[in-house]
Amino acid sequence: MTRKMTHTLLRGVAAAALATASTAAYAQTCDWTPDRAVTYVVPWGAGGGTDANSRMLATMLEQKWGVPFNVVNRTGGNGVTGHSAISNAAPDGYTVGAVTVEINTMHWVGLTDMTHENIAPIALIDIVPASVLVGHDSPFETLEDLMAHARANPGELTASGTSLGGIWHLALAGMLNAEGMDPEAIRWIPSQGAAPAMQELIAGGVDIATPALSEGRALVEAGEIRALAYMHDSPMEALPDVPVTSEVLESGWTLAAYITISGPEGLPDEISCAYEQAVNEITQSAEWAEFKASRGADVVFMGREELTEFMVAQDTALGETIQAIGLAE
Amino acid sequence: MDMFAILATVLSPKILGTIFLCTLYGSFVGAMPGLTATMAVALLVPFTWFMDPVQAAAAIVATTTTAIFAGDISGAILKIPGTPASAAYVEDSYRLSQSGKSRSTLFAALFASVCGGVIGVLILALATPLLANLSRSFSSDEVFWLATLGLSCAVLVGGPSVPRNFASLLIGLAIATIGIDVAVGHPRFTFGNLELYDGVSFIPAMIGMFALSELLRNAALGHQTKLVKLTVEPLGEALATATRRFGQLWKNVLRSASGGTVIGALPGAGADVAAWIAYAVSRRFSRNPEAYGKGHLEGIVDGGAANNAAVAGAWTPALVFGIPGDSVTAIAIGVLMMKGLTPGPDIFNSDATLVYTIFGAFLMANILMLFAGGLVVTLATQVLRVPRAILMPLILLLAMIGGFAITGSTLAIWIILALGLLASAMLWAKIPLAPAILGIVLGRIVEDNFMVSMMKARGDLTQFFARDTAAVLGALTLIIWALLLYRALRSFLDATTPHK
Amino acid sequence: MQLRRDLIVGAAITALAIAMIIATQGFPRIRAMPYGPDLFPRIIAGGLILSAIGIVIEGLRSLRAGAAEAGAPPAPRVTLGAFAFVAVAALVAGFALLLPLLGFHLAAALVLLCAVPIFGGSLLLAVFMAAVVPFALHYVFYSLMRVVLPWGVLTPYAW
Repeated sequence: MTRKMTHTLLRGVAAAALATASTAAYAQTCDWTPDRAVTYVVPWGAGGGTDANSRMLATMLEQKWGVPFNVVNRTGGNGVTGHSAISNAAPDGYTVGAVTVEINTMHWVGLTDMTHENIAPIALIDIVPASVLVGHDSPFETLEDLMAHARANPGELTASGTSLGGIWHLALAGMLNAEGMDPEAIRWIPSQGAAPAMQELIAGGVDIATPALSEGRALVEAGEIRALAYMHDSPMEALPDVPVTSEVLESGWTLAAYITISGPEGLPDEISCAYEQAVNEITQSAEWAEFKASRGADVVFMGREELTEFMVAQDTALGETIQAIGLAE
Repeated sequence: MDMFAILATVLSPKILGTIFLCTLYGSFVGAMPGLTATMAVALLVPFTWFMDPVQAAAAIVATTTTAIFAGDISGAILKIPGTPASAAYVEDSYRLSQSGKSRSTLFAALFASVCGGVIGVLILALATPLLANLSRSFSSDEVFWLATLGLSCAVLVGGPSVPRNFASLLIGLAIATIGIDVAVGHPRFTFGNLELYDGVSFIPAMIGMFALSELLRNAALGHQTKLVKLTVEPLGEALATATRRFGQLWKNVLRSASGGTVIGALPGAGADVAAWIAYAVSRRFSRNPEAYGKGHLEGIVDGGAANNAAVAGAWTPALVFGIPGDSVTAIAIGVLMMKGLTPGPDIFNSDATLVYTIFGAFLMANILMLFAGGLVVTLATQVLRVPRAILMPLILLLAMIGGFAITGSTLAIWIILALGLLASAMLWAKIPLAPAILGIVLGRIVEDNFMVSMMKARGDLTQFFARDTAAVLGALTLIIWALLLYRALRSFLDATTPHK
Repeated sequence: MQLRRDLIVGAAITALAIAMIIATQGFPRIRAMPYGPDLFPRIIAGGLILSAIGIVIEGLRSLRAGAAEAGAPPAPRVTLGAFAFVAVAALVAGFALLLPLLGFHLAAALVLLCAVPIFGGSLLLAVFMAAVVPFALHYVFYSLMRVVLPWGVLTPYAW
């Protein structure tokens, strides 16, 4: 299943190059522009990765269209509040938002009935693969060591990264499950996000953390922590020596969170197409590339069609994982 | 590293100009209810693209420090503390300004903030590796003990009645349990409202408890206070008084600023805890502990120094580990990384000149804050001269808009109303408000870290003492709690035993 | 007087505590642990009951000590004040309800129109403030600080 996911992903990335050609096809209906302030809803807090990407995009859309793009952080309910705010807004193009991977997990764990069908995907702007991190004094040198130890001593090791059932928890439990182990062979210790989890890791409070590798990059480069694996199928440009799970794991397990710009359900074609085109242009700019590089991330883009397909695939895959590890409602 | 190069950069017109503009911006934002340092910094980010690294860092730091100080201004004038850190002493500063001493109080608070900030930056420049080592040893066990220690301040920030102080603290803690619990993600007391899943946010809670309850009280007094005119001291006199009073309290400033820096550097604590602890310690060692909470300057100076020092301290984990302690430092790290500066333990070797230049800019930001802060204090206190019939409706509207601005949702206004009514009931019941705010601020930290530790230890309580730092902190906390409980119980029994 | 108040306070706090304990009945447990999200609310509820008992004891004590205070002056008439109290609280509720419907400008103007007279201002002053203040706040919060204030019915005229 994960193979399929990454396949779709790769196609999407490749699509970025072709997008200029494809947008020309429906260019005649894409001339919508906003003539007053637009609200940009971010379901997560200020200072996080979703916030940073969305604010950057909002600022560049603002420069492009000459109307204010006001970012509002609607946090709460592990993402439900903000996603509902996007989904329930008037589909007039004056409310868009950062729909994230949680749109494919929340409904499985019973937080909400809302799915990706209740929003209008516009474009994918970031792919954030998970990682496996340990402290610099950890006895584990490779992911293999770690997995072998966890297999032999289930329940001894602890890991953290986000709340219970959050995306980084799924990354760990899903990996264990895919490798034929008990998803609780490594116990999950919930935290209020990646930063407190990293603090726990360097303080020796937990043995493992599985947040986005981009979150741990500074600590890895500093030698405070070791990255045993990158849950992706190609190495991170900033940390090329970190092994990728698609190669070192038999199951080829990979998992990445993603960030999109999306609108409310029923957003007219003309409007979402205009946004898609604008975002596509922005992601090809030098400014955007520089911003991405500073965060150790690659420039990615998927248009509406690819993104919709991607979300459907993600939804099935993550649903299977959630059911396999016993968190489904 | 080249001292002169650093000085030349820091004192260049470009950097000084940036800092000055940002201190003005920060004081404006901080003094406006509902506008926070985080919002101010987030709006600044697009401008930092056109700046060099030092200028960008200077802009962020200058904005943050002044915004945190300016939270005291709205606290004193409108009874709307800008941050939970200012809430520790808002009762004192509000009463002082109601009695016509707004300017001397705020000037003294400004001096304290400036000194706190300067001391914080100096400690940061000299001892970051040490602070980083301390911060490195903090897991959920240590944070739990530190927060529990912070809770003990409730006894020292409340009123004379022991059971009422405890009732207040517990009401605050009860409010803090609203929302998704950390251990299993179960929504508690949310009545099906998704927005309550994140818990009651601090700013609307404080606006309700302090500002709305004050407005309600004023309304209930009817028109009898209509003719009471508030006075504002002349500028020169206020400055003289503030300087004189501040001069007597320099020891407090040293104590609170150094303590504040350390607490600020620790994960999970930050400026809020620093201010409350500084205020409580100040009262414990003061010659007039009974005057606290009734309009006493000493606690304001201690709390103000500590919270600005903590703002500097909070940069330690951010710079050394790249782990942001709060949203402001998270945004700041993002900006620094865009400028090619990667936080990490090597930052003092690899980018020494740049780092010390940034520290130099921090220092200048804290010094220039004196002017911007002074200007805003002078202007903002004029507000007190405005007739009640204009001022009160304005505060009401500002309080509601401010709450709305924080979350972008009308739920904030309902929280303001609910907590305003609760606070009115508490005032009627003679239950003090300050311990409740402390409970709201610390409740989540205490519970989350307790639960996380218990899950790590699989329910084994002895694990709370298994780590060195945790054992020391734990023993200290238990001793202090035992003493406080013993004294509280004794004074309660003394008071309830009939006189012979 | 004080005893009666203390009894009411004690009863109210105890009721709150009992409600909390009852509400925690259905909470799930952490796997393999004897407690879960219900632990802290129960500890807090227990503490609340203890402090309620303390408050009542204090009240009883003051009854014995303060028998001389029996002839305290009667409470001042608060009819007008009570009305203003309720009116301000109602204004807050009204603002919360009307903000998304009417939009920020109209709701704010309405609040000022009502609040100024409550706090003793003239109707003329109220009208003046209702006309001016919303625009000033719009400028500071919406234009300058990018706070998303709802437009409500004014959406077609938004700028």
